[in-house]
Amino acid sequence: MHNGNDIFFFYQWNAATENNSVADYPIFADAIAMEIPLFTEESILCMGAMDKPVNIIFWRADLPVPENIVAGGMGTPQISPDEASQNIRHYQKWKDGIWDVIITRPMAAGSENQVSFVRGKNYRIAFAYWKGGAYAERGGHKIVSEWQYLSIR
Amino acid sequence: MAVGASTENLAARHERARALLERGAQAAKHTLALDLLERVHEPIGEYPYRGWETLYREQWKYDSFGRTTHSINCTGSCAWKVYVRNNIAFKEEQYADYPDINPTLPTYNPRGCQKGANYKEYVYGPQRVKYPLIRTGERGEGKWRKASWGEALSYIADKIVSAISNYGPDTVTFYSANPAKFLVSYAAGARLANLIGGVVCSFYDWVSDLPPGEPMTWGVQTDSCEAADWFNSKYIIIWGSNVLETRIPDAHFVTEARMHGTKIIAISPEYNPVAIHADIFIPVKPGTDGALALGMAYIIVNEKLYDENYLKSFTDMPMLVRTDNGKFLRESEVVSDGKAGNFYFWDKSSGKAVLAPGTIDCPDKTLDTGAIDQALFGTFIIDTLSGKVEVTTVFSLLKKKLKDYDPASVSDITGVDAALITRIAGEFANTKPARIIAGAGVNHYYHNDLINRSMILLAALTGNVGIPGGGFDHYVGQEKYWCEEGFLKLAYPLGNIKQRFQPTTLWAYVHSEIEKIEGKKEREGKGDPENHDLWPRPISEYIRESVDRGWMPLYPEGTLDSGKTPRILLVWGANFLNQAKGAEYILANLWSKLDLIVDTDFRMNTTGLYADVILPSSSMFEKWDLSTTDLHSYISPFTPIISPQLESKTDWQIFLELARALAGTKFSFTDTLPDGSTINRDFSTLVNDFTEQGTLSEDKSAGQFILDNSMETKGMTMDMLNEQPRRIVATDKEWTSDMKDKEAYYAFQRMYELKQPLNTLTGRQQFYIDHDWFLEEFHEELPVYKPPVDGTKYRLRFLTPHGRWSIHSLWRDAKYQLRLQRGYPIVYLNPDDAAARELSDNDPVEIFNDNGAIIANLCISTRMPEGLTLMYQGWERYTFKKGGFQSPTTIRIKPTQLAGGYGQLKFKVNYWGPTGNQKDTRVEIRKYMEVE
Amino acid sequence: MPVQKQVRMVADLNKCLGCHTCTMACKTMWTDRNKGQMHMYWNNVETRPGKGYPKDWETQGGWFNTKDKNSILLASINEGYGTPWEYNYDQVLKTNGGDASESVSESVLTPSPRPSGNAYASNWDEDVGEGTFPNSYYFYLPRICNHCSDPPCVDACPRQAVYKRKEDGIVLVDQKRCRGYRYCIKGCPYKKIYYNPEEKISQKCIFCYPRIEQHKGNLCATQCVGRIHHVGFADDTASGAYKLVNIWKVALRLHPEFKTEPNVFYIPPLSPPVYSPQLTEDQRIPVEVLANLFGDTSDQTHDQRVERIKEIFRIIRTEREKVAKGERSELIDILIPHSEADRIKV
Ligand code: SF4
Ligand code: SF4
Ligand code: SF4
Repeated sequence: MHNGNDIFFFYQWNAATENNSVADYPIFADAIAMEIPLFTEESILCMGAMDKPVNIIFWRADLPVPENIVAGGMGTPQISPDEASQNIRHYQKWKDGIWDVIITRPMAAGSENQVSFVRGKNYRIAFAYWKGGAYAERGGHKIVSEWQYLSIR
Repeated sequence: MAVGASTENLAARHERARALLERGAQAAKHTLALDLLERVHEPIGEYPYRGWETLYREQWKYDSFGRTTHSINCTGSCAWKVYVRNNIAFKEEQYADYPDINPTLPTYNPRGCQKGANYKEYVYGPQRVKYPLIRTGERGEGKWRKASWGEALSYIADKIVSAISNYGPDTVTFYSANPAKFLVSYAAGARLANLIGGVVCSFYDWVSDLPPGEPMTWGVQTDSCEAADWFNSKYIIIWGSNVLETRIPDAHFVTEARMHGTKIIAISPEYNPVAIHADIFIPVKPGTDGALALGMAYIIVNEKLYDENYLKSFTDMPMLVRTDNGKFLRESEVVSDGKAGNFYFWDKSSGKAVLAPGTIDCPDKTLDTGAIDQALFGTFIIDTLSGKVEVTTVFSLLKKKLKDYDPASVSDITGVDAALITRIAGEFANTKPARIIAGAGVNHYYHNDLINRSMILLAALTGNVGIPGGGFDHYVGQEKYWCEEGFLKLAYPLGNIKQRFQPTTLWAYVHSEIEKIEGKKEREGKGDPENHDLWPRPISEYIRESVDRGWMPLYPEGTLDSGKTPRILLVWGANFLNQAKGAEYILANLWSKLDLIVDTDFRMNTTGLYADVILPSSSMFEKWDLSTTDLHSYISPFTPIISPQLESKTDWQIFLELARALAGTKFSFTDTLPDGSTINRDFSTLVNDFTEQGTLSEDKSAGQFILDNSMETKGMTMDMLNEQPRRIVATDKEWTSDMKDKEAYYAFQRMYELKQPLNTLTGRQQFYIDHDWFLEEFHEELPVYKPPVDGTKYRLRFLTPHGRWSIHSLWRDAKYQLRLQRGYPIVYLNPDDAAARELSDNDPVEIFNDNGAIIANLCISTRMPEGLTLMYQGWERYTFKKGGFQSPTTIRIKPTQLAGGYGQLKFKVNYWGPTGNQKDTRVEIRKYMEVE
Repeated sequence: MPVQKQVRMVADLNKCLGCHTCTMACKTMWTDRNKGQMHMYWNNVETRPGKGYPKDWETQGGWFNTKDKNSILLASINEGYGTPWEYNYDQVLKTNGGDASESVSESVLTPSPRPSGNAYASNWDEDVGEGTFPNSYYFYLPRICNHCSDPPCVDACPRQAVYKRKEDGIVLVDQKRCRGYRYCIKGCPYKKIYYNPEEKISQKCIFCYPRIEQHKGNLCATQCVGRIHHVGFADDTASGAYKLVNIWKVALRLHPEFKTEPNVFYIPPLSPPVYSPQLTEDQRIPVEVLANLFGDTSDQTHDQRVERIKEIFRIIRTEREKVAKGERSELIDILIPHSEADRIKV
């Protein structure tokens, strides 16, 4: 959903416990991410590739704000170092076994480290989901989708 | 979109990104992540992203550094380098620049410990006293108001003046612990006391660190070798001493001596940390060390392993004693104009008694006995003025006395296998140089003097006293202020003859009214095998006799007759209340007698919490001062690395300001001193007197004054010391050896090498004390074994040794240190003792006896034998739910330590006086049920 | 070998005092920046036998022995690493004054959270030991990261944010690229990587590289007042560290069976003899206990380790006796280094 300026992603899923902290060694937080090829139309699902970098929007339940990440292959994801691209905001709430998370950012890219969401354009997009808590999922240990399509109308 | 096009696009964009990156690397807003995308192929050796490493390099950056040490009575006196960034002292590191003594000895570098490594915690921590505080609630209630310096000081000054005018100057009492740790700061308070007629309390006997056996045998307060001389020993018995924990900067000389082939024997009741690095660990029943020493002496004497020539020259063993009354044969008894301080040998070659040189009344100040062939054994008949008298030698008497200490009997007492006693005695006698390192573990007993004397006997029998690597060396407390003369001049400008000094144990005992309790216990304890007749007469009679005969002072004068009491207590750089033996009695009885208690410290402590006024002093990063120790022969300065924090002032400035406040009262009075002389004390000149007409207004100049007036530090300046610590260049008469270049300092070289007599009646190492009390009432003319004295009502012996995690109470409240322990006070117990009481590890327990109770948590450890419990000392009272670590203890004066009028047994502050021993304490432990 | 030089450290346990000066030297330099570091001791000293730090670290496993890497335990701060207690100073000490109207006055300085139940601290077991009095035994074991030659912490990190420096073999966690996954902590069988929950990343001993780069020794070694350490590069044949490991062969690895090729070595501790009931000649720390800890290589058997430790003790005793008789011993000269320059060569 978008309003011409900002784009909103709505997520809702079942989660038996609210895992919103990383405050101790064995404690991991729930997280989700969206991956979109940065320049190219498509890329490699696992973190893109050097010549086909991907832009990742990463939300983790303990973070004050979601992170804008760029990756160019396995082991390369990097929080984009410029402030302009760290423009993502969110709303999160866990209640009665359900996570509600809304992620929003300006449609126009804050910098080169970010995909611009342009009306009428189609994007490849993939989703990842990490179960925190006792599942201790993080890094490559996650559930990922295949490439999906995102069309902005 | 065609694939080809998109690839082209990418290439173009990538290109653009790279260009952008190069252009605006600093324009942080447009930093691209792309250049970070290179995959790490070889994290071993070829990691590409190392720019972040500046992070830790930055952390290590500093603007400046300065030198200091710590004045905490730790005996370390270690040089520390303090790094400063943005005016914050953020990191301490050992300076490690002590010049070497010689290349064959390990160096003193680095010196330090884990506590000193984080003194900054106190400089900036919540424990720091920030401004003068005046109590508003009840004492100990913890209610304070902030006061200005002016208000606090005139409050104190008015109280002092009123105490002096109403009750006399000897009701104003000054207490601090140990000049050596901070010569200038100590001198500050002492100097004011000296000028106004106040009483300066002793500390060394009070804290029971004084080894009374040393003044008794050697006529010295203490003299021990510096740590480097341990390396020169071939055999070391570490006896009731835990140098691994309590002499952390020096302990390497033990472990390194061991690697160097020195045999290390550790004797202690529990398997303590020093025992882990010993070649033999000897578990001894607590408090029976004296018996063990005499058991070894038995072997050495009976197997003739002693050094005969040494005994003849350097001990009283060949001196003649009358068999009828047990007294030394005195010249005054033999010839009409003879002197009482001259004594005899039996000369085998001439077959008659001859006068010994070097005795107290002998003009011949040498121990060189020339052609005399002294008999060590025998009975002889002497013609005296009152007829024929039978005499024998001290050695004969000793041998007879030692009969009780055969290995089997000693094994029964000590729990040490008889064969082992024999073996250790033999090894000790046959391996030269051999040394005993003794500590608080044997010195804090009621019969510490007997234990000291028995151990010194071993070192003397084997000819080890006075040689490098050998001897009996006692380390408890930082008593050695090398630059004595300069210090005394600074501290006591009117002369220490004119100073009222108080043996604190006696003062605390009387004013805390302990006698009532101890006297009662004594009566109840009759019939208890361990509570043998401590005192043939009531203790009050000994005290009365000692005070009346002028053997020991007791202030205020007239205490025993008119019930006068002290009125004011000024404590600085010490935690009197927390560390006091018989704490419960002090708090209940002594505290209530005081109209004013002032605590001067950089941090809040137990004494402060129970005081009326608290004055904030500077930390050890904020002042000029000097520190020395017996563990090494260097003098270490404190320097102001940062300025005094908050409203704190240095001790020197605080007492100067107090002098100024007193001057403001314009009070004056005529003071009659105990020796009958009078002094007119006019407070209006106090500031000038304190500062020596302004020449000593600064801490640094006071320090320089000490250096200038001491032969030990001739030619040194404070600035030179700041560049690098210097080694003492000479030693005055207070010490028993010369300071030699390229040699580690060891004691009694002047006796052994230069044949100079000691300051004892006989001029020798004197094992026979023919003082009436010793002979007739206590039968302690020779070292004997007497068991620890607490009754058997409670089953567990309670030891409170020094530990590694605190220096007395310091660091007991420091979280960085507490986190490396269990976070609160613990008490150690053997697994079987714990099981018998159904206790588990970490249980809250109550440790109690008739004196008081403490609540702490249990640590079950196999290091402990059965029947013993141990709590490292120093925990602040406010770290306990109930009591303090001294609550189960009492003050128990040994009458012989009140004796005087006899050669070396003569009151001198911190040299001779009753000890505040506390190890003869028994307790029981039970589970403490917390009521939430 | 991609690493050109490798720092090495030998710790002589016959000289360790258990004084924790090393711990504090490290703590006050590197890990007192923020709350998240308070529980970590890059250098810690543990009493052995004992549970160590973190508690039972030896049984937690690492990359080398665990198939299901996810099953490797991550200990928690309070129960595993030990609570970095805070204290109610202001209430108890009142150094800020406080007037009479402030009626609540706490009188006991209390660690928070109060140690109870499964309480633990990094040095909880201090001097507890094993055995039965008078044959109780314990010794001190100082531990830092071993800067292993085959470091599983490096392999464990999916981002390759853990790496080994070419010039000195120091193993570091890139503080910028670390994402706080804590795989490295699982990977390290010595549990020498810590997690900073404030910064949400992992941190570890850096072998004081800013100092090594200036040819100064690492703090835990230079500040050690027991003077137990010898530091040098593995190929520097002139260094004490080299001689002790390669020539005299008296220094062993801690748990070489972890297969990481650690670069910190230990001279195993002698101990006073046993009473049974008379004094015997047998050391009180059973050599099997030591062999459970120390050895040369990962493929050595327990019996081989036992023999090696006995051999080391024989060598040390022989050399000690030589010196006692007035002869020279190179080994003893190394073990009693005169100055810092003799024990630290970087
Ligand atoms: S000890 Fe652990 S953290 Fe250090 S290098 Fe080895 S595996 Fe890595
Ligand atoms: S080498 Fe440095 S960083 Fe590592 S433990 Fe020692 S002091 Fe700490
Ligand atoms: S500083 Fe040295 S002697 Fe002290 S505990 Fe650490 S390693 Fe052992």
